[in-house]
Amino acid sequence: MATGAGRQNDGAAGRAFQWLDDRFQIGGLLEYFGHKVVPVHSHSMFYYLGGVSLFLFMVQVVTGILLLMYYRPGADSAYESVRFIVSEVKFGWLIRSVHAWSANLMILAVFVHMFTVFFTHAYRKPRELSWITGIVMLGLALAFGFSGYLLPWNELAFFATRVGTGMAGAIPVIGKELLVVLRGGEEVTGATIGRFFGLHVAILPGIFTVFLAGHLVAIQRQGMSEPLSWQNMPPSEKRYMKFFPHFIYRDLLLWLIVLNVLALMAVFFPDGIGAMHWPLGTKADPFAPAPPVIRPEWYFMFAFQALKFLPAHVWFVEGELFGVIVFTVGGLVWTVIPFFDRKSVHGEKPRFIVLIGALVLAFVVVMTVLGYILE
Amino acid sequence: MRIPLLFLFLVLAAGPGLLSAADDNCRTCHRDYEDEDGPSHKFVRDVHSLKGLGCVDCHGGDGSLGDMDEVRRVEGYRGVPTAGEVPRFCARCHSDPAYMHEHNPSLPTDQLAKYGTSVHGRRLLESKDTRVATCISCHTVHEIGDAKMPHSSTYPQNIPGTCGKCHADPEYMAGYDLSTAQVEDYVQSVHGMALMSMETVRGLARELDLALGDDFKLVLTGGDPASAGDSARYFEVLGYLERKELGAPACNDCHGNHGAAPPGVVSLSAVCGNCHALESEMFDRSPHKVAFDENDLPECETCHSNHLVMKPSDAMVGPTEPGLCVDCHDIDDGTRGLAVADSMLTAILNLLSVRREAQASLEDAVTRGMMTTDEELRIKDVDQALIQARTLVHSFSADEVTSRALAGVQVADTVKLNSLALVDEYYYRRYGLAVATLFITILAVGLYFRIRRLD
Amino acid sequence: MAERESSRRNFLNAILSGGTLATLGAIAYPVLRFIKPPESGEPNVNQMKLPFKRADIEAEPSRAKTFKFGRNLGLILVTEAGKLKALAATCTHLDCTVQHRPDLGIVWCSCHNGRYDLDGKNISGPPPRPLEQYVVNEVGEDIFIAREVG
Repeated sequence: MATGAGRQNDGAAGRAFQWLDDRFQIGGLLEYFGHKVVPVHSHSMFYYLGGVSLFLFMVQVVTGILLLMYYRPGADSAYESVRFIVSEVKFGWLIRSVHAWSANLMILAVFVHMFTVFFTHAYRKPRELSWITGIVMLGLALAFGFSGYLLPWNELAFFATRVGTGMAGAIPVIGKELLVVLRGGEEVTGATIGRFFGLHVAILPGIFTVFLAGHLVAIQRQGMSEPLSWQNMPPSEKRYMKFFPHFIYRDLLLWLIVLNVLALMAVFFPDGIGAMHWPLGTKADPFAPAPPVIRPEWYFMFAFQALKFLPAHVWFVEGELFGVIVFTVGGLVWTVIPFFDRKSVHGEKPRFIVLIGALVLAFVVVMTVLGYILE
Repeated sequence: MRIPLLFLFLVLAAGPGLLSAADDNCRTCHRDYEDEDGPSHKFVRDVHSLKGLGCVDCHGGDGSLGDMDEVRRVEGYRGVPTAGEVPRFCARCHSDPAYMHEHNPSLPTDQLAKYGTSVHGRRLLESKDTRVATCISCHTVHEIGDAKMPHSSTYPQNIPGTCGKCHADPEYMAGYDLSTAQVEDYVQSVHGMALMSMETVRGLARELDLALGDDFKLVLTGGDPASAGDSARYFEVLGYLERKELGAPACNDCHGNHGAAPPGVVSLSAVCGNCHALESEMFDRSPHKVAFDENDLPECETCHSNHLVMKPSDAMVGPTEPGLCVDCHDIDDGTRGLAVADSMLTAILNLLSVRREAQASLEDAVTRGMMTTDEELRIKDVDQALIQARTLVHSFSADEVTSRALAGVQVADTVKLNSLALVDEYYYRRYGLAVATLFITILAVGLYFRIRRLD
Repeated sequence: MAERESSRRNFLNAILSGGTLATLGAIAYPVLRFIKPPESGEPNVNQMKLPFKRADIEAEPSRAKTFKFGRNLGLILVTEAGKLKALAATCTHLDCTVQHRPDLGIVWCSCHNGRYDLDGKNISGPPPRPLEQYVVNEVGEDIFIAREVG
């Protein structure tokens, strides 16, 4: 049985370890990890969410790379290549379906992860940068979702992208320029596919990896955040489990279950279900009339619906612009919350901040639900 | 001051006269006499007016004159022609190749000659029957329109109405040994439904008081489809009536324009064969050609009717009713007629049934969300074979129909096989998932116990 | 007791190793099959190589053959002068499949006697629009068909 430093140096694993240790002195590193502990309490279930998000991201990378072998960007080939993947390539349907499911589940996991971190105030000093890198990654994940959605170049995606990029045009001053840069022109065309493809497979992965690395290093260095109630608790009452192998094994078990869920979803619901829906459908036709219902993906629905509710003018400001401003300012405030929360640093529950968080959560949930009910 | 004013007054008074076209006086006077439907009002829409011609160019006279008596005394004054004079009146220009070459070289100049061979022309010129159609009966007078213009009386969609003005009027046609049901029949036929729009048919039905079928009327009035006596007919009519296919034949396409005559017994096939070339060609080499000609039976019309041409159905072929073959053929009439009919019908029905099976298998695959575009394309070949087999009926050769139908059956079988394979794939995926889930579960259980032991 | 313990431990290890191998296999199998390209090569979108040669076309009595191009049907024919021409094979009137009539020097639709010239232009009968023309390239023995760009 292998636990931390007490490793037996015989057997294949042992010899491999010895070989590396002779060259890189990894023994110290492994000892460090061997001492890492994870707090155990009523909410320690939430600690797994980050790992699940990471796992789903890795699934995305693998399935994405596989899809890259057959996908061809361009107005004349994108749709056909995806159709080819789903109909001709062996298990192509599976890879594409897993990629789509994993994308949606990852965003769901990341949202839940963020809210649980928020309500346990794990963002407080000294973990402000973990929070900020996390929020950045959330934004990047949404960008991944938005850019990836267009790539099959089907009717569904075409109109959703047109509406989505159209909203960018509402931003003051830079709006028009931004829209043209996003679309690669005035309209959504093959040029847009090119840009979104570059974003999706090169630019975003690169940036994401940097922030992910930062996020993981910070977490490994600082360990898991402890609940507020533990701030003023005597050390003897706090319970911990070893990161390696106890927490790791549990993490792996959960990942296994998630993998099975992905496979189940991919086989039984290859085109998604309910709000998460991505049938390949028909090829995009810029000249066809817009379908009666254009929806964004579910993770944008709350913003989409909120903007719909705004009146044409709020005071002297155009409605859509007002909405964009509010969301931007709100997003920025949310990002720098750690610096406003003084109470939790001392182990006190920050009532006001919790209220804000509850309101935000309620807003997102209600707006999302309304978006589907009111269609 | 007075002199310039006087000058101005004179200019203003005389100006119009000085600046006017030669026949302005014709219009000026006649506009006062006539109501809105009068020639001088309608003429602005006429194609001749648009080409720069005026009253004088047809009627003669002198447009600068203000007095009708003076006008009548002008040499070459033609006035209003009588019905019998109309054809030559128009032909003065329209049969003059040199003149027409100057003004509209694309128009033919043989209308009068053709008219002389037509029933209308012969009755007018020989029997002096002035009730028949002359140029202005169809083209109108003073608002003649190019046949390409939707408001023209010779625009394809308007032709049934133009001919129907006389031919669908039982009172007017009394005394001639002719039916007056042609427009009624035509409008409900596939040709009529393809050409006419709902609006045109509604107008025509009102104007000519047509007796239309119940389901047809239901579509025109926009009634509830559930109340249709024959819903297949209802939807057929609905589907056709908005096609507005200008290529579909109107009266003149089969009867001719100026040489209007009912197509002769032998020549009918040639008329239909202009568009339905393959059927005509097949018929001509079939045993029916000689048989029909010898018995004075009109070739296509005998089975398909002349005006009330309906969408043909497979039921028209067969050794027993409702097949049309028994109208002439008997079991022991000395020909292989009914045996051939039987083979042809069997081959086609067989192909239909195999196609239905293939379609059902294909739909199974489609509803399971499998990728079926290849098979959807392939099944079109089956439809193609069906069309060809049905067309081949006109050859009245059992071999030809059967072999074509067989080719279709083979393709349909392929579609069915491939669709079943797709459905199998659907189940294979679930099976694969079950296996993978089993492996993962074993590992998960193992991990779970390992965790338990660690704690 | 220790023996039971040890055999239980071995059993558990066996399950873990076996399970890991089986799971990795269940993941690797579809991935490896995925990587191997299917027989149909790439999707034939705007360009394709015909599965037959010029000689095959000339051998046909109608001096033409049909082929599947993307989701549509195409017709390739050889003119009297020996030139290869390729057109969309679906009549623009009511979607019947057209054919080459070398005796008349036209492309013909048997459904309602629609006629097109060998460049696809509708010259007689009901068809309202011309047939789409494809670009033909002969490279050695192979014939390549492509959609016209622009």
